Amino acid sequence: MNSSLQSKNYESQLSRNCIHTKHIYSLLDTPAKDEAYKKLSKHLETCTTCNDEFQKFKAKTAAAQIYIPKALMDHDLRQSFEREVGELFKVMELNNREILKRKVKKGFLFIDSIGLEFIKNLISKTMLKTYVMAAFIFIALKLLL
Amino acid sequence: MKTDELQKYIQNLSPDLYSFAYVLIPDDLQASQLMIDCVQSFLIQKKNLIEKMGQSKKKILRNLLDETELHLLHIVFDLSRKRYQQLKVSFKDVEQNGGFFALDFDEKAVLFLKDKAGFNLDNIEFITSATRSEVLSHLYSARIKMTEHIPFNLFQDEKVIGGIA
Repeated sequence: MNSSLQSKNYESQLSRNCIHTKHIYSLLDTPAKDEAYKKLSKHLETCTTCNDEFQKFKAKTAAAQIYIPKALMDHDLRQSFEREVGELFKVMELNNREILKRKVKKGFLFIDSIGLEFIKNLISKTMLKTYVMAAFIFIALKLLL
Repeated sequence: MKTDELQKYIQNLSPDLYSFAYVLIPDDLQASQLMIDCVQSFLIQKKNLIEKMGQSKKKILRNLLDETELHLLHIVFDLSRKRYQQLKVSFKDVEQNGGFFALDFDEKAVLFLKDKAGFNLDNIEFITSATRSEVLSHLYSARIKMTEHIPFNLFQDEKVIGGIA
């Protein structure tokens, strides 16, 4: 609490010296290709107040890095996760075997539908007319020859 | 690529997913449950994409796998945001880790993704569904709050001696 108060006092003290000091904190995350970055970094070259403040902020940020946790998974937890993922792939039918099964099924359905269409066409009205016509021509030709 | 490989890829992502989930929901069991829910949600949402992976060429496949990681992290973020309000009452010692766990939800996520996971701003925007200015603003406030926990005079003596690198 005390250090935070001190820090704020210090920052406000510095801010009095240069109007750009409050902007320099953003320099750390602004991409180098941005116009704002170029302007601020150019300013830092000439302004010692901002430069000092930036270096201090950078150092503090680097020191604060150790507080950002990177939690590690224990072996049991990892194993249980891997098992669950395997189960999920199975249930969702995303295994290679399941996908192949689905594809084969789809293929058969396609062949089935083609066969049904063919039979439907064979017994359609137009085809029946054609059969009658063909039989008529056949008989006529038999009688003539 | 076969789906078995994707399964392995997701299984290998577990340390990254877990550390992100733990940052958002600092509880072992909740974090691991979050990961499982996230994979389940991914498999439902992206079933077509996964089936497409089986027919893709290597180059396209690499992009699809990178996309997979971002999608998973995005889902972890979304799910944990929904659960955070209900669970935050049970979190203890939020002041530990230099006040990191006391940061706002978005601030924690953005700071972790930038400084620990090493993602660029574009990817962070995607994972958190935030605009560039929102991401920068969260980063800024997170950094300010974090540096407040660092002692004011930490580097003063060093500076007198010759400064720090």
